[in-house]
Amino acid sequence: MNIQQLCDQLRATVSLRRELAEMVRDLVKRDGMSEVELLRHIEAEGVTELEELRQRLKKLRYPNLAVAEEKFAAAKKKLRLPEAIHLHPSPFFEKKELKLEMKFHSPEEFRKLVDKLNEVADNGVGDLFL
Amino acid sequence: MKTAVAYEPAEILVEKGTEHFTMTRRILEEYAAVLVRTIADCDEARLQVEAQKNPKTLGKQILALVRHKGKFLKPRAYVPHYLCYNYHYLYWGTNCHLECTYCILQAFLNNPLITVFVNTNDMLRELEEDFSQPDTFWRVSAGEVADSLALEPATGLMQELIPFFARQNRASLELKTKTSLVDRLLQLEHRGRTILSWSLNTPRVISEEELKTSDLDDRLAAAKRAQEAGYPVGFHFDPMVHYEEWEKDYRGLIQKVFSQIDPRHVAWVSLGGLRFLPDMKKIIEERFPKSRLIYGEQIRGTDGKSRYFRPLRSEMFRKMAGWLREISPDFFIYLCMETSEVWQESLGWVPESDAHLSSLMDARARRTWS
Repeated sequence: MNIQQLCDQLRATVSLRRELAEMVRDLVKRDGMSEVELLRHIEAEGVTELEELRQRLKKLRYPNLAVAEEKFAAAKKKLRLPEAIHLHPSPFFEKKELKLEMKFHSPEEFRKLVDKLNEVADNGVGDLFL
Repeated sequence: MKTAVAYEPAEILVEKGTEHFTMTRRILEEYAAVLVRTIADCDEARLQVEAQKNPKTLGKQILALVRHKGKFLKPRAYVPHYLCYNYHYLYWGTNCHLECTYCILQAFLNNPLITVFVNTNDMLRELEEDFSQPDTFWRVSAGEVADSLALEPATGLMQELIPFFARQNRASLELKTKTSLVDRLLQLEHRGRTILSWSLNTPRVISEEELKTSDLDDRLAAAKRAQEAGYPVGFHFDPMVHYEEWEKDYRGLIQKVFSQIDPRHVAWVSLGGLRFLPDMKKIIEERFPKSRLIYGEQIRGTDGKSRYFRPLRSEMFRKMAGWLREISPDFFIYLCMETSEVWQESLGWVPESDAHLSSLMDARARRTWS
């Protein structure tokens, strides 16, 4: 099976198909293996979902970035932020900065979110910075 | 030792009206056996080459001698988010035959021909005028859109520029090369105003990616001769390439360089990681299918260029700076096109601005004047 067939099977969107195909092409050239060999290796690890396939390829193509993303996700999870608060790293962690996004509908909600942020500010925020 | 492949054009195009210029005559004399064609302008030849299958390769076989009508001194382009010192580059010609796989000129230049601007008198007049402005210091690089010395045997341009800069009190010149073509420069009066710089890399990167350049030994032997002739020298470890044995190879490179070069007379050392415009990936794949450079862990930087993931760059530069400081704590080390994060993580300090870095470089350039 090649990547296009796998994308058909997993119903990938056009943009995702392009992203996956580029990663496969790069890996094939970098590691000197065939596309079929690479995909067989991935399938052997039981990858059947689209997002799983993407993450697996990403880990192979960008191993350090994938680890950093995992670490960031784990550190964020540990903060137990409410759903109304979103934290985003700089794209590819290029800048050492985070973007904070909050959604609220009243001064009261806003106050609660700020209290939560104050609470986490002293506890574990440092782990978010790469 | 392997010297850089000498440039041998298959054809020379001479723009009408420039036949009698000293530079034109000098170049035609050097290439007396080469076919010469007089043209009204370069556009037709450029379009013909661009219509071919390998325009970037074919274009390098044609040497165009033309008049430059604009400014010869151009300020470097400003790039947001990435620190870089201010300087002017001397637009004396464009393109290069040395065939580095990663060369940005492949995507940057819209003219595939190797071009030399032969109205040297206009250039010198413009420089005289600019350099007479009070309170301005001009740090000029002649290696931005061409290797400074690759065409020197034919043009002799730097042999004119070095004594010219020796007479200036508000300007310094940096020549950047991957060749060893310095011998005709050694006897010139330079008064420390010209810095001869080499782009250096590991023997593996040189042999796999810098195809027609001098090898490391040849470049170092030339740098040593330059130093013995009293020139301040500079080294640019750029582009550093991240591969499995990079650490051992780059450490060995530093040791080798400074077993031959006196660190006291080094004007500056720069470090830069491999970076390329998005269009370059396709160009490299087509022109240099054996190259593996573009399959490293490169992400898209905020300037749109592909570059190594930040922690990889910081680690490479931090280790290089450490090895350099073991040789001499007095090296002036700067990073080329880097974020303040990477400066802090690798060198432990951050220039306040491009202007701040520039003023430090100005002082460094003046330090070697006699």
